[in-house]
Amino acid sequence: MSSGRATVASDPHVCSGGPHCSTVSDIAIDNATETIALAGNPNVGKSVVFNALTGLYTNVSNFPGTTVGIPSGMMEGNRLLKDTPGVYGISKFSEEEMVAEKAILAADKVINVMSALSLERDIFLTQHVIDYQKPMVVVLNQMDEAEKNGVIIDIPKLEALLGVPVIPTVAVTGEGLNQIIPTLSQARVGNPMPDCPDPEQLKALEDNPVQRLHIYGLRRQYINALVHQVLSNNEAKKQTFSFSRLLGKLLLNPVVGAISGLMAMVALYQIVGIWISVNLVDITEKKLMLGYIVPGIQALFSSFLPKTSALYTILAGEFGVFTMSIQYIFGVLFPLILGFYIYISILEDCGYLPRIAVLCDGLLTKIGLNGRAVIPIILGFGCVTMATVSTRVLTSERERTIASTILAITIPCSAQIAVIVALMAMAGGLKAWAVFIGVLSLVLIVMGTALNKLLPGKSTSLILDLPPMRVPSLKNIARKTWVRTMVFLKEASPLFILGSLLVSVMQVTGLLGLSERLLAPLTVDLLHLPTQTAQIFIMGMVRRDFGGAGLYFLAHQLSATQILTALITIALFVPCIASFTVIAKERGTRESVMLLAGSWLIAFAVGALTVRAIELSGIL
Amino acid sequence: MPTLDDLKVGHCALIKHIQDPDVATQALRMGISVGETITCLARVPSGPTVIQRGGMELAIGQALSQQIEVELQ
Ligand SMILES: Nc1nc2c(ncn2[C@@H]2O[C@H](COP(=O)(O)OP(=O)(O)O)[C@@H](O)[C@H]2O)c(=O)[nH]1
Repeated sequence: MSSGRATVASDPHVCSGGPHCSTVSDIAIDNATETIALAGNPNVGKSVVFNALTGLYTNVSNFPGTTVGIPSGMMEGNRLLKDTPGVYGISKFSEEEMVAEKAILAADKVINVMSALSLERDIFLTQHVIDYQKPMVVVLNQMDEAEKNGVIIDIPKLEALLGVPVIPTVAVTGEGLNQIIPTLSQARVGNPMPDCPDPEQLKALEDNPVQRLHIYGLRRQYINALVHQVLSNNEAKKQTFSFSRLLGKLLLNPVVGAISGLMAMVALYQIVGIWISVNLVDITEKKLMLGYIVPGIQALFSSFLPKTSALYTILAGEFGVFTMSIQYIFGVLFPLILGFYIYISILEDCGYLPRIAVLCDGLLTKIGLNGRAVIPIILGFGCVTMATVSTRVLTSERERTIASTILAITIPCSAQIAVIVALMAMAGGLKAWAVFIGVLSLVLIVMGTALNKLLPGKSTSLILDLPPMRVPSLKNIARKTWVRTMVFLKEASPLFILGSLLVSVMQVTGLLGLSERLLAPLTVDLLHLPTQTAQIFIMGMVRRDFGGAGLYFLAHQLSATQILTALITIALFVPCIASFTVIAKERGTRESVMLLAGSWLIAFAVGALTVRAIELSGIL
Repeated sequence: MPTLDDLKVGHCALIKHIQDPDVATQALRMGISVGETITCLARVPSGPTVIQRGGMELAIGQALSQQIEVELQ
């Protein structure tokens, strides 16, 4: 196994700008002798193979919810290995398919990972790449699982029919992986399907949907016949009882699914919501950051800048670029994001995540999304910025607009959870929670339904492969989590820094105070809240939890109704500056300005209605 | 004609026709084509149909499954 360096470079067509979006600028990579694309369907074990070949795992599996970045790494023989998103084909049905197609066509050679379990499906992509006359090597993975299922594949025959080398592997144990690099030199252009036009012509034909369907039909027919010759089932060897299948099926049962889904949510709330965002952040932010790091930074700056100067305030003041952003990124975001990614990676690796997606699909189609949107939504409870980035897994622009809007307005991120929990106790406990969750869910449903009705076009429907339930691999989870966290922090940190720069400049210029005064009439007349609460709303834009924390200090002067109204309004109000910047970057200026205006309107309208409803009904 | 959406758990069905060309294209890539036999593995009420073909399990959203006409076996 070789060792090498790996770099994550976002694909230029996915990434709209920014320093991290530059192409791979690594000396070693510039000197690479050849570029090799790693291609395959989702869940075939491509990530494990990528990691084994480059010595560092980088994540681009199809259903995780991070980015469509193209991870790449150097492998033995000074070759550059580029991972591609896991896709069922290269037909431009989604952004990921376009990225995969580009990467495959641009490479000198292709390593195609297939699963022996789903040969009939995976071979379509293989034949497609062969028809494009790319020299390639096939890695036939998950041989162990195929064997357990009584699937027998005649590998020499498969090799002969495809016309390319086929290497059987069990990626998780490493079996067969050491054959990949030596075999690369024998990569060949395989046998195209009968009467296949040359690549240029084929590509032109396949750009036409009618022609494409015809060609795909022929290709399917050809490979079905091919598979028929190499695949046989040994019923005797097939394990009659498979716990994995039984569990997989059970989890799709609506009742069992609802119960286990609920348990998964409770676990998420307890582990990430309470243990991490309350208990751990208390240590990392309050004790570590505010106790040692921030005072240290301030001492450093005050040694050469007067504490009263505007520059000191901007750099090391309360919202300073070097103080608040460091405190926030490392004290709050890092543990939170890490916790969420561990959670998502476990669900994904064991095969539960796609099953949650299936169960939620029916509900999500009502608001113009499909089951795939569970990922951004779950992540949204962690951090809206992270979730907005992950809307890239959604297929159409329409779905991405709906998801980003819902995330920005109705999903409270877990940075706020600590203060929300404390305030709810003061506002009447269970009843207050019920009102809070009820109002937010109602807004989500109404808004989603309205967007689904108003936005032009049609959302795409779910087609999702369900991998077998597996025991999650600790190594796989650790690596996925780590890479995802790093990719996110690299992408988002500049935004949080920008946010604190903006606020401290507003503070120095007096704009902060002005905007608070401007907001005051709204909070007093409309929401029946005291004047000082205006400040809370502005602070909530800086950091969501600042809003809640500000409220906490005022809480003893407020009635239960006022606390609840303020909490609901803050939750619906503009997302924090960092997530707004991400939305602007991902969704464009027009959409983000509309979202900004919409969130003001919705927050204050719903807040005003809620306070009146509570006052009239007297339920608190 | 019944569609995939009408299947109940345990049903076997032969795929007869797929209306939308884009759906047909996507299905072809997955190995679901006219003339193929599939088994219904699970149903989510007013949601996706989960079908099995060979060792593969596939969830298909309702809007799509209503476009896939089948013949019960
Ligand atoms: N039993 C078995 N499991 C495997 C094998 N290769 C990968 N896996 C598991 O299959 C799942 C998907 O693998 P991953 O590399 O994340 O798939 P990707 O979506 O293609 O990147 C993970 O749970 C792996 O642990 C294999 O050869 N045998």
